[in-house]
Amino acid sequence: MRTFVRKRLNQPPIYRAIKRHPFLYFGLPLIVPIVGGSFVLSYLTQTRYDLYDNKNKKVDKEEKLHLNKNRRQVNLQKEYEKLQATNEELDDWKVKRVERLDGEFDGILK
Amino acid sequence: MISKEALLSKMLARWLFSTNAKDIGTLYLIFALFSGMIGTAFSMAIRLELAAPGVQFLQGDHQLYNVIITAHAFVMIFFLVMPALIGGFGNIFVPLLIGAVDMAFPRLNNISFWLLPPALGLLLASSFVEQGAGTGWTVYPPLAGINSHSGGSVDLAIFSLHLAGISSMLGAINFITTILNMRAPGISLHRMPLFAWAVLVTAVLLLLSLPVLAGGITMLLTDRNFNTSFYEPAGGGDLLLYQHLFWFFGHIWPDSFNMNMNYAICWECLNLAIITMNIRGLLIESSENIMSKLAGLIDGDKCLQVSKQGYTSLEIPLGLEDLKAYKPDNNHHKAWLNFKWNKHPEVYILIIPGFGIVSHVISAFSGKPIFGYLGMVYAILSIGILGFIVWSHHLYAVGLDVDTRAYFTAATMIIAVPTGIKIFSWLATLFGGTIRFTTPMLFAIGFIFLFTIGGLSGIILANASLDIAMHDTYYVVAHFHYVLSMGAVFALFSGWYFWSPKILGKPYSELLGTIHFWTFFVGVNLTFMPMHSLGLAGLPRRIPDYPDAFAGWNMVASFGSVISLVSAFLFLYILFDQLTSSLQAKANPWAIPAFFEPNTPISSTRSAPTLEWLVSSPPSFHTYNELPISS
Repeated sequence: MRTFVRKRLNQPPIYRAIKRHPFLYFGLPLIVPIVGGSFVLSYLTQTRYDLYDNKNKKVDKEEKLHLNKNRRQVNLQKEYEKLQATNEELDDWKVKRVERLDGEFDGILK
Repeated sequence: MISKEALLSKMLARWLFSTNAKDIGTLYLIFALFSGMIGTAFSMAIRLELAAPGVQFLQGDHQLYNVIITAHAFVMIFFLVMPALIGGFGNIFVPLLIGAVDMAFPRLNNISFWLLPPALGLLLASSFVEQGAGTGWTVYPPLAGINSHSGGSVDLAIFSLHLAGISSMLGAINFITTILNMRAPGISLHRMPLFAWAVLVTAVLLLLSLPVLAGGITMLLTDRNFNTSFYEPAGGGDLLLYQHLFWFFGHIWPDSFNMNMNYAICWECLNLAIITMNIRGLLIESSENIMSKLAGLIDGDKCLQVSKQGYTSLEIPLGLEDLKAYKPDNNHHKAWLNFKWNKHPEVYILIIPGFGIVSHVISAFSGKPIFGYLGMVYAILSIGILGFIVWSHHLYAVGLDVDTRAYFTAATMIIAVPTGIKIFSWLATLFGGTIRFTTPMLFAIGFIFLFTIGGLSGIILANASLDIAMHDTYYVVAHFHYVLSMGAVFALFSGWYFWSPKILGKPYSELLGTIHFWTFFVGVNLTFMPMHSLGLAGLPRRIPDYPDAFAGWNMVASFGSVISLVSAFLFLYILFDQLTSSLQAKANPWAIPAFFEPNTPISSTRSAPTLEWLVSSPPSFHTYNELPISS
């Protein structure tokens, strides 16, 4: 162990400045990576979910059973709705005359 | 001879109208002791009810059980740990440590304390009126709403929180002002003792988080009484808002909510192509996957009954990856699954002063200055900052989107870094030191050991995916009791045994103190260690009954709590013994004599690691008539 510790008399001013302010040379470099790391690490955590999504893909029944893709699509909800008569449909009609046989009175008053 | 009247008025003037930080700190400690006994009584009621399956003492009254749970949590958090660590030790020792004559605002200090007894009164009153507040300490709506808790008890609990919050905020203002403005010459912020740093960071956390809590519970109050709908989806409100506001204050440890799904869905609804679920105001369209799981639970009357008092196997498949947000559309039929939900700087508010105390104790009984002082300071600051950005880790099970859960998982786990810095610095302080196993040192080492266990289970719970399974189980209860009951309370006892000779001027019995430590250590570990197993096996929180399969570990836990009760009575005796002792404590009872000790009484020039050991025991009413100068 040295008896006489070497002390620099002419330290650079920046060195002395940061020595006087531990927040700058110690505090900030400690806090910023820790707090900033929480944001950066969330991307890494996200990869777990992405990996899961890549491995597990939802296969619907059509794909699972290899059904013909061009067949008519059936949706229970839509079929159900089709069966429901709406007011618009009930009102959407026109009177259409039925053709009469030859010589038959057509009921039109002249 | 002084007359009785004169004595009474003198006592009133000194204690009721006190403006002296040391006296107010003493009042805080007495108040905390009183609250601690009430909280312990509540905890014994809980454990005795849970000692065996079936009804034990509470006559099957689940509401009463939840009222006791709520009161236990409130009393322990707001009326034991916070007043003792911040109000008690903070008021007595922060001015002493920084060389200030008193706190910056002595009258504010007086108001700050005297708001607490009425707050405790209101809280206890809330347990006794109507059905009591069986909401859990988080007071989540809709359980805390007017429909579920129609009496005045929740309102009283809210008022109690208001008063306790105002008290803490006034105290925080006082501490920040004192520490920033009244330090003695030579005590710069970077040379300030760690306990003062801990109190400063805690005060900032309190000042920033308590107004958010106050706003949240005030909105709940107006929802309950004035027909507002901040948390009422039917009126455009959002239930989740309360949870965000609460946990922005109370981000502690993943706590819980009851996921009791008490609702029946008719078979016809399931036949429809699309089922929508209303989860906390968010309409969600079910996937085929969910449909099949729902269908699997249909019972005989063609109704889906998904209610098992917390045994919610159904909550697991509700991971929202399978679900997509659904726009409300009147053409779709909707089946409603109503989830009844019972339920963070706050944990750091509770534990950071404990960090400060443990640092002092470890340093004193290792005979070394604390290792890495600057690292300790900035670790506390980092924990304080991170504490503000992790609140949603309590909300993993409410249906947060994947990105949000990924962020909060990462942020929560990164808190382990500054906490690790602290733990390793304490261990490095112990390493190579002249260790003396006094009672405060035993409690401090116990703190490091048990707090680390609590921290490890915290990292497990920080994972959003694991938390879905652990949520609302006894695993969470075990975790936060390891952090609080064995973290904050061990630090509290450590601080008491370390500083009580200074506060009272009388030494305590070291033998009894050691016995107290070991009985308490065995008691709390027997109580809370089995809860990890119970939680992993699926025992839900906040329910006073359980299947016989859980009987064994519950009996062990209840036995442990009886041992803790014995140690609490032993502590009361130690206190009595100390107060009635005829011995006089030295100014620094923990000083190690130097190898060469001069004969001349030059103790006044002796140095001490921190300023409080240079004043007499007990310190005089007015300390530092002349400002001390730190070299």
